[in-house]
Amino acid sequence: MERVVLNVSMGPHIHGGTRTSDIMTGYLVALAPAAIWGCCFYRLAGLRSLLLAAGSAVVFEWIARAIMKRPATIGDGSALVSGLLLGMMFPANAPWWLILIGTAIMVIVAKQFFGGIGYYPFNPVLLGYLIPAVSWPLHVNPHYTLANFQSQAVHLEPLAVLKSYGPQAVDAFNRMDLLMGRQMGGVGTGPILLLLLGGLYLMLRGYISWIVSISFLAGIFVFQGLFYAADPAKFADPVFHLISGTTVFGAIFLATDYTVCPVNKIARVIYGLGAALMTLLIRNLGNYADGTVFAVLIMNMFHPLIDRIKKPVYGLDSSIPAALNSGK
Amino acid sequence: MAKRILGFLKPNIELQPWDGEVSTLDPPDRVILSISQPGQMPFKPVVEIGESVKTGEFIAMSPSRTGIHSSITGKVSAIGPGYNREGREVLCVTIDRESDDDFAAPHPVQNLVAASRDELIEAFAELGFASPWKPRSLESQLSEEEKLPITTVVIKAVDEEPPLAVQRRFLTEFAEDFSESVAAIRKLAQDARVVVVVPEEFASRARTLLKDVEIFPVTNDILDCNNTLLLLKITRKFYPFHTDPRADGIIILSAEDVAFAARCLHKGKPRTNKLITVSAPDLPKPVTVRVRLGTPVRFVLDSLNIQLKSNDRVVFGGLLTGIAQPDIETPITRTTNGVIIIPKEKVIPFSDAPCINCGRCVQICPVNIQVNLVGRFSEFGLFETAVKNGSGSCVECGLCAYVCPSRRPLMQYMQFANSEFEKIMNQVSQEGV
Repeated sequence: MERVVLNVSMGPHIHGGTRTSDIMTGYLVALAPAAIWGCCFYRLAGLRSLLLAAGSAVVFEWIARAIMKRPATIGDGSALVSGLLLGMMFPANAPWWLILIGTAIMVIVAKQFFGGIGYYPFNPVLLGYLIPAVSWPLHVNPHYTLANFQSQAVHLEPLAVLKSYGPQAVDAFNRMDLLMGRQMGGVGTGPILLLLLGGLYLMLRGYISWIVSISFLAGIFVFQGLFYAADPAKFADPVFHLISGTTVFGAIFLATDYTVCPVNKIARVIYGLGAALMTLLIRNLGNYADGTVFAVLIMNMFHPLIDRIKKPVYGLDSSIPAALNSGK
Repeated sequence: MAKRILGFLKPNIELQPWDGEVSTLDPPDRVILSISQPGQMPFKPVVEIGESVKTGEFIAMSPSRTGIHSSITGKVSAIGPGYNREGREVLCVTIDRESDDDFAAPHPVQNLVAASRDELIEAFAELGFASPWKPRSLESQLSEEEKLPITTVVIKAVDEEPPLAVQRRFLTEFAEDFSESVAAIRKLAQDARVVVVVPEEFASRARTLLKDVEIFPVTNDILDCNNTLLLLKITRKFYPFHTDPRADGIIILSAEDVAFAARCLHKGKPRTNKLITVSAPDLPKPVTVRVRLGTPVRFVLDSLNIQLKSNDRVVFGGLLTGIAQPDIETPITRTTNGVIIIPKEKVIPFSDAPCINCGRCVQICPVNIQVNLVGRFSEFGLFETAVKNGSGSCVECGLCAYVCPSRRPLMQYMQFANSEFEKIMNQVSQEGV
């Protein structure tokens, strides 16, 4: 027999099949309906924002990895997904430099400074949005950016109206309009139904943790229900909070970022509920109209701590769960 | 194969039913028999280079009269270091075949059930089956007479992972030998528990076949067949990698070893065979063949007309935890249950890609290790932290790496942390003295 060189590496020699890039492709598929809707609703302005954000994120990632002399990672698709998410959060007419600064902060500072995917302590998309948003609040305010924009939509951002004029003012919003996306906001954060559709796809494929998303949405409903029950004149009803602003977008696409999300089930419930409570505290009692982004960022910070709530490891701490110990 | 419903991962890797009888391969032109095991006292070779040996003749012996037998008739061509399938150096005896089998003088024991206990122990020892009753570990070699009391004998008639179909056959194809051996072991074990682990579908058959022993049926799910998890269910005690169940008098025997004991005692010939399941792209279905112990895997592949190409992978063991071999001369040993050829196109590349913290491994881990964290601790050299977080509880099922989207070698990270930690502890204890 002629000499053959064998391939030697460790097992397992079969694999479940899901790769990181599959997960990112799943995200792209799930984001597609809302992104396409954004391009139709905001037309060229929306398309421009999305392309600029997604494209620049990939370019920045490539440059950052090249400077660090590390293998390129744009192939895993995470930069593309992050860029698209960021583009969907900015209002359609946001200035180009704002978007570029956002993606640069997101990819270079928030992601690659820490070592790239898997290592960052905060969701880079949130930082990429928040740092420009706090620095140039006017340019991320949809009322300002979209002032000259013509459409059939109510020219108002629901949560900003709530903040300025109180819960009575939001009765002007048709609930169906809000669900269908006819509300001011980011390019892709408006169409609640399409976002939920994408979320459902991700959950069914197992690409995101449904526990985080559902507990976040349930938390918004329950906690705001308590606020509403306490003083209906001061606080809006829970359904309004669910379908306005970035609630659904945050629950499905922001809070579920793997790297900064707990992995244990109970920890995930606490994480989701905590983010919901924090969102509502900011919305109801704080200065900002929409607190989702801050809330998720704060919960990111606590995720390693929350993740300590876990099932005991067999044989460690001399604890074997009773369920298995009782045998078959 | 893994079901994904709403993000709940359910491992669904199951053992497949087999078809086809066991066929016997011709004796190979050369066998390589390892006569030592890492960490244990080597057997003493009793043959010299150039000496002729018969099939079944002793080639190495331990002080406790157990030994290793030649599996073919031929001439000893080398005694020296070789490698076992884990890549560790062991002492090997190479024998080149010269003629058809010429068996060494047999000492048959006619009736296993009627024989006395001492007779049985003696007979078992002479045939190389003494290990259960005279543990071969270093300590017990030193105090030869101190035998550990046996509390539980677990006989595994199940295979551990696909595509193996070796141990399960002993309830059907070799049922007579198996039941006779189990009866003998029942006698040897005296008051100890004897538990026979069988696949569900053979449970009723096993109950009629085997008397006075506990039958423990398991499903085809690989987690049900995992050694550590099985012991946990049977003994209610958890024996992860660093603990030795033998210290508590628990012995695990494979159905094959057990069944061959009866067969060998009847014929009075030592064991020279091993059943292995061979799976290769050239074969329509995995086949199970009987080969001589120490047969180089090259010979097995040649006999089955399997063509190897460069960059194919030759795996000893199952698909999940099997070990890829660098050399096609690696011999089949008593613990090799299968040989799998994985073609170049189907080789799964593993990488040092970072963990993306998706949590699939944590959801799938049968012993609740937080694999995402422990894997990283091990990757960055924090072995003590890794062990404190439970890497020592790993049961080595390989499911974490099976589901990992980053394709990280997670099981190996666990093993690495454990072995490095052990080294550190040994160093500390030596310096302390």
